[in-house]
Amino acid sequence: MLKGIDLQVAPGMILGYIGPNGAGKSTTIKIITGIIDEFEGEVKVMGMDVRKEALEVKKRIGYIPELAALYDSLTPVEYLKFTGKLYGLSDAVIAGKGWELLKLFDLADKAEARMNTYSKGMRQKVLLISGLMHNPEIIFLDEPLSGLDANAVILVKEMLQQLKQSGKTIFYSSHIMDVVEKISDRIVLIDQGRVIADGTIDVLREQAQQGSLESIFKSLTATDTATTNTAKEIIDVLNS
Amino acid sequence: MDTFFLRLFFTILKFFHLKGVNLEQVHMIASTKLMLDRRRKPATWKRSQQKEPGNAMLYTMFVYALMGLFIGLMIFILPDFMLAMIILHTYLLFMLIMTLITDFSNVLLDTSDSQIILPKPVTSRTLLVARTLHIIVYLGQLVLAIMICPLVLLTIKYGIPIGITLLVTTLLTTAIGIFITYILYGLVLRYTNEQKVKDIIGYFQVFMTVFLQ
Repeated sequence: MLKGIDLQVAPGMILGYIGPNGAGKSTTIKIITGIIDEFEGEVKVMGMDVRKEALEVKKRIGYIPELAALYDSLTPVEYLKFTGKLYGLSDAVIAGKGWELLKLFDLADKAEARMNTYSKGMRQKVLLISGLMHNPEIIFLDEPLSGLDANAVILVKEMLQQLKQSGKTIFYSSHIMDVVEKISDRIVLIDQGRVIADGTIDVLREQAQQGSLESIFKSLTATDTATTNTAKEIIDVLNS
Repeated sequence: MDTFFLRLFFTILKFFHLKGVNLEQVHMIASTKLMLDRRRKPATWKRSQQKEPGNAMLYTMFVYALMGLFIGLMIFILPDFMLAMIILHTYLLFMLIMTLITDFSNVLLDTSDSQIILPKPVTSRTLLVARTLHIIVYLGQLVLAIMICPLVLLTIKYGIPIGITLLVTTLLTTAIGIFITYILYGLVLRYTNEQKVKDIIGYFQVFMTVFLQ
């Protein structure tokens, strides 16, 4: 999948990691968070090798996966207890923090219901809580806003900003430019397993104007007449 | 029932002092997995019963215990001891493998685990021990449900030494059952793809449903 991703990320910033579908965004995150351990090269988190000191690294990072990967016949309270315990939190902390966060995310009245009755956005909220409850220093988010309603989107964006201000590092992966360009201090654009641009949004825009990134940039920002035409063609095919 | 088994095996586990294994995490993972088992609809659950099972595991165990009662009565009546034992163990092996394939396949071939547990600070040894503990508790319940009636009836008819011997052979048969299931999975996965495995599991589930009705 990946053909050479060389990145150095400074602490205390939000890194937007962006690329079209299938570019290798999730794969990168899975390698850093230790889900995939068969890869070539070297990955270090806070100076520690992710394969040699996996436990130390995993204690300090939080991972919010995409596609709502959780045990959905549990209730959120049970699920948070499960993940909290794996992070070594005490029962009192899990119960207190968990309940408080569920309330803040508007899930208090559904806290005793099994998550297979939940919508995608509600599951995403539970994943956010479970990934952040142990107060990690680095946070990996893979499409964290998918399925969230408008209020929750604003809430999460604001949360990310405040987390950054308190010194956390955030690795934000998405294929939608909109959000990324607003919150990121630095954007890394990848395609087909390669880094093709790296810098602030202004640098990227400049490069896009020069033509080197034009087509890929368009596919991410999607404010282009070409997409309108594609849409039109699709509708034509459907109608024919 | 499963909490009892979990406590029993967990206490045994404590005596081993395994290196690099976090027992608190082991307990948490195993008990959560057992909770998921309790809430999972068994493959042979009738479609007409739309509502969620309160305790699916207990229901399955009850059905198996009932069937065990019939088998137990049969060996009680049969005059030939050898024949009775052959039937009983064949039955145990059959039930075990069938249940392992139909109900337990999503445990043995679980992929959501990697997304959920691997990013957490859990060593691979801890995960291995937790999974083994879960499988042992699950099988413990199952074998107990299948064999409780035959065991009692056999002890009444032939005496306590034979009863204890049956206990030992039951454990051995269980080991063979797990072995055969793994070989089966291994072979199927070696020569075909995952979709095929799901199809084959589907066939087994249809067969089991017909068999149990």
